[in-house]
Amino acid sequence: MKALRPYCGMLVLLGLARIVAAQQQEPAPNEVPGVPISNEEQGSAPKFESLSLPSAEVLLAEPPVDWVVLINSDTHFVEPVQPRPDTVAKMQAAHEASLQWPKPPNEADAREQQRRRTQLLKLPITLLAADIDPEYQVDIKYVQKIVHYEDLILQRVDERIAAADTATTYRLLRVIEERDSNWPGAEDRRRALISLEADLALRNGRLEDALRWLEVLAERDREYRNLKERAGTVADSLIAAAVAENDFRRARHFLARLSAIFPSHSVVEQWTARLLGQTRALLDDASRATEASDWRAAADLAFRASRIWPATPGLMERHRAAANRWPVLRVGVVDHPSADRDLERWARLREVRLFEPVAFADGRLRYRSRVVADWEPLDLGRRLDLRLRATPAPWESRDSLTALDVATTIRSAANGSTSESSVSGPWIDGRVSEVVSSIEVSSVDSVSIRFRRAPFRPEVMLGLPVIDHTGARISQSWLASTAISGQPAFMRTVPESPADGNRHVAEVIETSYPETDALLQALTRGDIDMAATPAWKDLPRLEEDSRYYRVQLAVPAVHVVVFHPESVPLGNILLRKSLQMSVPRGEVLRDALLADANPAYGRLVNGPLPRQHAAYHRVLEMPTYDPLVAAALALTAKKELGEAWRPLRLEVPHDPRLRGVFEQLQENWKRVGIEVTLSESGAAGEPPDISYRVLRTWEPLIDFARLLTFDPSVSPAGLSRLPEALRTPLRQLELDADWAGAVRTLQFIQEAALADARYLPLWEVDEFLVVRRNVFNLRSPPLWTYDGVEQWLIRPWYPTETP
Amino acid sequence: MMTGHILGTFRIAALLAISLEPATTSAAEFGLTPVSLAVEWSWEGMREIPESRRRELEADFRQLARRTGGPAISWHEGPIEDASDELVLFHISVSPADVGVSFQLTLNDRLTPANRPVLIEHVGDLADLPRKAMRKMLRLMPLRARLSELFDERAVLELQAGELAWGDPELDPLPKGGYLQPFLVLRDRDGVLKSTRPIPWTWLRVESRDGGQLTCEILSGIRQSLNARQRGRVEVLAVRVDPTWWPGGTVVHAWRLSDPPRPWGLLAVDLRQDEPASDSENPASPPRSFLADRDGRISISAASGGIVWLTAQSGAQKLARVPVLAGSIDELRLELPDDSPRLAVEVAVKSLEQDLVVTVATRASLVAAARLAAKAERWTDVDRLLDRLSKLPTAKVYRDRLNGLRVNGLQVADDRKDRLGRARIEALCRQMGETIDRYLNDDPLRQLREELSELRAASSNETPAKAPPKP
Repeated sequence: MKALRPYCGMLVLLGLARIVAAQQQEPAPNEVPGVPISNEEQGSAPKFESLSLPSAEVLLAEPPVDWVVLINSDTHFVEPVQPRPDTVAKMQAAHEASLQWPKPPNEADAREQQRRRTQLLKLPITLLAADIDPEYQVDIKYVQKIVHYEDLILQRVDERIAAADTATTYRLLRVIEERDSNWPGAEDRRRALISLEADLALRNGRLEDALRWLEVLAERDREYRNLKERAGTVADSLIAAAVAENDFRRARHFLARLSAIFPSHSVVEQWTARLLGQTRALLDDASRATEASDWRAAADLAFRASRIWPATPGLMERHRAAANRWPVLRVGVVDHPSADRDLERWARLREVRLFEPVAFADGRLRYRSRVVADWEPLDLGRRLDLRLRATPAPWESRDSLTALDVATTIRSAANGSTSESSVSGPWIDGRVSEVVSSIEVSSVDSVSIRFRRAPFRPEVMLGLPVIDHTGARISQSWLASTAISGQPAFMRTVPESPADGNRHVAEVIETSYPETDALLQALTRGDIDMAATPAWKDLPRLEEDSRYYRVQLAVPAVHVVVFHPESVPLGNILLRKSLQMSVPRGEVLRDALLADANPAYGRLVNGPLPRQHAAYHRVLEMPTYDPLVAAALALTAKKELGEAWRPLRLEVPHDPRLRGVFEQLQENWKRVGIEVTLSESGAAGEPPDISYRVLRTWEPLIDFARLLTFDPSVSPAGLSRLPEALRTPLRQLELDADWAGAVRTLQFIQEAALADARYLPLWEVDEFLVVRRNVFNLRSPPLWTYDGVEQWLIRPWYPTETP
Repeated sequence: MMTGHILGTFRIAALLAISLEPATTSAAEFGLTPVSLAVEWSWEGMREIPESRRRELEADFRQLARRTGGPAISWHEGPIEDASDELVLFHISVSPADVGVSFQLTLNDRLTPANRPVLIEHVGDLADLPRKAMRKMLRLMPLRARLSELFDERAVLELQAGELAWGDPELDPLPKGGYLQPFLVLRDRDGVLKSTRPIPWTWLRVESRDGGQLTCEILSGIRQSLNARQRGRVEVLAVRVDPTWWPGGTVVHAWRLSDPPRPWGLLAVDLRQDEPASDSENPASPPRSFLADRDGRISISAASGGIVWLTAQSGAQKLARVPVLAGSIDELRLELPDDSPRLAVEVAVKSLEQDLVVTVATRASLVAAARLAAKAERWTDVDRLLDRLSKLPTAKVYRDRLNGLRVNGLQVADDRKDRLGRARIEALCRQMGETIDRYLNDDPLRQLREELSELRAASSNETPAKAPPKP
């Protein structure tokens, strides 16, 4: 502020003169509403009555301006004055306080004190006129009032709120927030704005948003007008909708939120009573089901009761009783197919196999049999005598099998392998029919198999599901069913009757989630006991959570893109080579599959075998990535194929975790000029040209031919699709009589298949299960998702925390 | 099997015998020689039919047979043991059925023992037995013909009893399009049959008949399968065969003549109706290609009702092309040379060829990219591309690899004394060597380097002219 000017008195006089004059004149209309008219333009200051409220745009865009209204209504636009707010009152208060100053000792000091006292009544102002010296002082006795910039804004805020213009209101209130958040009236406007937001959300059907706004309003002022009624209405609607969808956790969530604001709200009391009543009704139903020995229904009812109102008195005991009698394993997955297809995981759960892999050791799968008690090779391996177990173990879920069942299984697998027969049932295996010469049932529990030649590892060849000649299962381990809640479920074929009362899993229910985020949420909410297909990026977080433990599958899954041998365009080697050379596998693995995850979970491979397999070809070079050459090869292939050139169809499994990989593959192939469309496995339409396979715990000794031919029965018709260079070693693999020979042959097949571009090996990825700690006794390490599930134990548990 | 025929146990219940036949006849007489025939009846387990009724039925059959055969058939009299080798002996065994009876007809033909089926039929009314048995007998009737002349891939044969009339003038047991299977028949000095065996993979299709003379097309998988000149006591006889005998078709067993021989599982075969004159000629009907099963069995349906040409392949090499009259015989044995040394080389050469394809494509794309970079005067890129080009495998590398395959393959073939395999390996490697030389010629690379050097020199000369340095 500049020093006092000698002519300031003139201004004051001028002001007084105008006050007198103003009393004789009509107020001039303001030409531009809301825009202050400069003193210079008018030649005199505008009258306060002639001014209108500046628009929001002006208020936001222009520098802050206070209006100093003199007693003659002349209004001067000045830079924000100090002190503020209540400027005049504060100056007068300061002046009154100065009267209490101590009496000065001499006259000079007394004069000085008087001067300072007088000065306290003079308001320094800075006029906004650009071409005159703007610094003045005005005695406050001439000031009628001061309209502060903040008050102008608040007036405009009121107008905007009335117009339901929340965006401008926010901007205006933001200005006050920055200047002085405690400005008188600002808080009222904020509440009004929040209230408006709640009204708007409610009007637009955004009930959750409305409730959130009302919660915010309640934090500021619980007694705000109609707040309690409005919050009750909104929460009631939300709870009712959630209950209608049977999402009781969600209902409890809204109930808890309303209760946090208004604990004794009538809506809270009504819904609490209602949910409690529902829970009790279900528990009563569960008791009745238990009395009727319907353990499955009882467990389901108790589970549903625990979902509604976990705090129900007596729930824990009754839930425990029902869950102990019928332990249910709830599993969350993301890979359910859209079409009605039997997943490999489900098929494996249902089948009883003569021999099944139980461990991976020394670079190969090890087998055992639950059906066969012991087996003895005789006649230099040309005969195998099997003696069956008399009864299954108490925990096993299967019927007792007779020697006739075993003989039927082997005969069924050996059926239909003539050169004329085309690919038929997947249970038929031409290799079995070639090797097995005769089957003799010597007693109810003894089978003698004679072979034309001694098979290498008969337990691998006889790893057959127990089926009859039509492919129907003679015995099942787990029956496919539908859970009462509608999801795919599997129940023990034979109910368990344990001597010690410790029941193992009686039912497995799989729930499918569209994304891994939803799966993770379900796990943390306690909706599922195990996440069978967690995203790799979520694993570290889950590992740190003491509620869960992580189980790594014994063998990593190998991802491989296989080219169909019957595809006409892919009969062209150049096109296959081009597809093979155009994918930067390392980048795709890192950026698409393991994005935000530990890169050590995945490793590149040069074939479809996991790296820890004894037959993995360590010397074989990885497929090269060279888009330049790939594009040249694709161009040549296009010329050679002529009219046969068309977009290729890539068949992919339904797994949202792999979506990024599929897109990257498509993109890279497109970059070299190859158009590829995606279709999900099992979808109707033309047969695929390319198939994306995820190989989990597979047996290359018997499955390699299936992989390359796309023929599960490995018939001559299927093998005829392959060139001699592959057929010969595949045949040799069938004839190999020792492990060393089989390893050599497997490695040769990998060499030949890679050279002939029969597939594009991608990578192997470690796979995990994330299991809640109330599930235990898992096989370690498991070979597949439900490895030994018949012996898993579940401690009854349900989430009790407030959502 | 084609090579053997098993006689059933004879239980003589009744014997029809009309005349005795001479042991051999001259070619001129063959057309006038009736077929010597005998029929044995067996009524085992048929006690409910009285002896008198059986005799009555046999007499009815005899009468019907005489009427049908007329002078073309002569009925053997006396014990079977005394009959000549040319006797055609049928055995009819009647057995009870749920309703009526069923009978089984078998044929014993020692001279031309084609593998004929056992025919079984049910008879509801016993009075129908002679008629039905007669019809079945005609289906199996072994009409024989003697080779007399060969011309222009045709054979002229004299049909036994061809000059004689059948009792039933409507009956033509060997019409145009019918088939015969040739046999080599060896007799001793006394004209007694010593051995007889079919000429493998050879069939004769009747094109025309003039009285007792048949003109037939020779369909054979072997060269000079027939010789019209009688050598010593060996004569060529052909006997009628019928593709409807075995409705299930014919199973060909492929064997690999390794040491020891083994079934050739998953052998690649193709079947076609017509015989292409050469490999390059397009067949009228596309072949049906498939693999034998793991035991080397190739099942051929009898649906075509005629000759099917079977081609066996090992890799790109044709091992055999033989005709099969599917349905005329139940099983055949196809013996093939062990081709594994050559096949191993072929597989390895194929892999080499695929590598070569990629190298050639890489080289072409790098050359094109280098030219583009040179045009744009991106000399750093040109250097990088030339460096990549220099690191590509050269023709020498491929030739060395090929030579390694060749030497190993020849070694194995020599060890097995497989001269044919050796020659085929040599041919295969020679062909591949020419491919390597053609596609990995160094000249284009040399030209490229020269061209790029000139462009670079021109570019460096032009640059200062465009922008002379300021003093």
